[in-house]
Amino acid sequence: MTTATPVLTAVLAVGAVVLLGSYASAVADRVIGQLVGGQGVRWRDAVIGPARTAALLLVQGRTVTERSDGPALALAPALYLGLAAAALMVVPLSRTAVAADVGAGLVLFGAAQALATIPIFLNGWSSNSLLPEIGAFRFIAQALSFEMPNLLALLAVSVPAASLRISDIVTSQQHLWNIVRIPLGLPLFLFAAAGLAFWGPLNLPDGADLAGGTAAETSGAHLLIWQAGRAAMLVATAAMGAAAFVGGWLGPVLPGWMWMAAKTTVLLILLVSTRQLAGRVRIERYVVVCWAVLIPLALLNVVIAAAVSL
Amino acid sequence: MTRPPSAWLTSLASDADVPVFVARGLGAAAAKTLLQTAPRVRVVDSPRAATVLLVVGHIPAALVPPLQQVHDQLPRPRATVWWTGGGRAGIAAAWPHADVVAATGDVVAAIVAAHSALISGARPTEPPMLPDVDAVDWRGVGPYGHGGTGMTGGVPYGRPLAGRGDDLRDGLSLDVVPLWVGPFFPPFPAGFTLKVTFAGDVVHAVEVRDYPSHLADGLGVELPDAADAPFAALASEPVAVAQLELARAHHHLRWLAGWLHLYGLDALGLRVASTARSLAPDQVPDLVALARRLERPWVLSRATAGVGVISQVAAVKWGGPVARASGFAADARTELTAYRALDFAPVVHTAGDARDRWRQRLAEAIQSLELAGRAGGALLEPGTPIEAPTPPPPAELGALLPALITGAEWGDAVATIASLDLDFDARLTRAPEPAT
Repeated sequence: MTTATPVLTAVLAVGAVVLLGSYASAVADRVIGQLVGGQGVRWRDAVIGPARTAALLLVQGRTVTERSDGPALALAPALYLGLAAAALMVVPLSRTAVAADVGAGLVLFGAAQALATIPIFLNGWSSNSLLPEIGAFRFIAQALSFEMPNLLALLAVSVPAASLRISDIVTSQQHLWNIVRIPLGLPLFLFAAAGLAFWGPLNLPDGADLAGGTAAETSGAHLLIWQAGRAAMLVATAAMGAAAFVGGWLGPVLPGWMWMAAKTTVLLILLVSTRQLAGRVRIERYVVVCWAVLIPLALLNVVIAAAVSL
Repeated sequence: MTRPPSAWLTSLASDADVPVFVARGLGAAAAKTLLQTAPRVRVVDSPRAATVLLVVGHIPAALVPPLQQVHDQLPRPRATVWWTGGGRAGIAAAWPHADVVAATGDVVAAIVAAHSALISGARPTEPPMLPDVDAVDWRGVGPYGHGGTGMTGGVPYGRPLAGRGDDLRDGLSLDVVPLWVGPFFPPFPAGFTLKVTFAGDVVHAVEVRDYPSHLADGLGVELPDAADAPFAALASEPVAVAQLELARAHHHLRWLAGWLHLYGLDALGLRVASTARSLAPDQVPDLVALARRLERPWVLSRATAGVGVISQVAAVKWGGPVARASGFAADARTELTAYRALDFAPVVHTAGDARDRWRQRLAEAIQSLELAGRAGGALLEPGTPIEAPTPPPPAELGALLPALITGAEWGDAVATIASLDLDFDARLTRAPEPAT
């Protein structure tokens, strides 16, 4: 009981953050859509709308494609959501509240991100249908391109902290946030991680030109968990961005968790808003930009991090 | 599902925005902006995500079996709503469960009512229309019994296997696999079907398989299109220049709203669709601001640059805004006295890519609103040859299109086809072929 309680608390806390965060991102998406659409904000619709859509997906039946890989198809959305939760586990929400304050937290976060390639490919591949499969292939090209700048951007923050533990990285920003110290880091990280959630302009695997891509053959609860997984991945990205680059829980007057929540919310809104503000990029140009521009920039960022830590 | 969902869940689900898959038949253009701006309706890209299948306009007999296939792809519970111009002749027999809404009826209310009734259980879900059997008999065919020749090819269970293909562009030779896209693929014109051979995400080969060439027997009747009505009316009666130009602007903005959805910019698409539904000459500043916004590199400009380039020489065959976007400044309006009095000069772009095509249509929409504002009561005589908003697709489409999209990424290929604004309805009303 004594060892089970903290684990249970941690799991419940991460679950609550995933749930609240995903819902908040859905609400933010609606509000931003209404603003950009020029209709004025309808708060009631924005707040209740996602719950209604979720309820509809729960009521809706599953669809079965011919000779699909049933177990793999069922696993894909759950695994994706699970990896988003695993990534969130290492991010401290305040000085004391962290589900898993492991020494190699940064590595665990990066591993969860990298493994997300598998469920996304599975979701497209296992329905035995070609448009979803093309979406899956697209994501592989996309993932190969953003993984390097993503990990390099994360790695740079461990240099001034001299640690891979996320809480050490937050503490190392006591006097100066990383966004000032290593200014290239946050934009690089957000761009790469938005690719992981294939959100907005980086929605290549599930785009309208593929009729929904990897999710084109799925409906009901499957689709709900898939969408929740994407939202949770955005939340994990925003939380990590807040902890690694803008000082996490550090801040005057207010309690630490409120600072963390506020910073995460700002980054989440920034990420979510890209959907309505930027058109879907061309995969070819995206790949070229990642390899030819972002990787050199990310390396430069590591050098800057090393220089300021001397 | 073995257990019925609880009451609060169904009540929440019943109030959700209704996911609708729109199967567009011929004469369905009018439905686009209405559905894009309707508050309770969410148009989805895949039938798997919908509860209501909305069939609009006239479905030729040849498209009824594919439509039945689309119907069966909707998850349960599902319902069909037909929105059609004429009576319900034929539909009741072919589609016994569907609600039929007349051209003037409130289709959004019908969609919402069908959805609520489905979720509450008051309306039973529609059964499948086609038997659940393999599309192709393949077992034991060919040397390895897989229906193909050699180790590859064949269509087990009706799904083609990958085959060998030559490298087209970058030294990486991939297997190729064919896929039929259409006739209800949302970004394509109604009834348009391509046989695409994919090498990964690249169009390795493409063949235009089918497109509507005449009005044969079928189900439903085309809907009247307010945007094209003044152009059609000009054949027999005098029509005001202002009216024609407002209709032209409406046509281009309606296209732009769909184009923005293709790039994921749904909110901007909604804004354009709302503008298109109540057009007036005083909206020029709004559209100029929109154009400035879309020109920002990250919004739409960079994603569409260099996509589907049509040279000035080739553009002659396409005509209309597509030709003018490639620098070919032909416009029937330059010949008309009424337009000369308004100092009309055609808008022209030069790059001939998808970016210049959306720029062209948006600029023409703005120009049309300005013309409508200046035209006063100027009238065109019946039978005046006027530039249509978009010309009928070229007769040699089957040869022109493959040349344009072979070797392109699929995303670019879809964008290229959408950027051409292929309007088969226009060809059908202008040059109807005899029904076979």
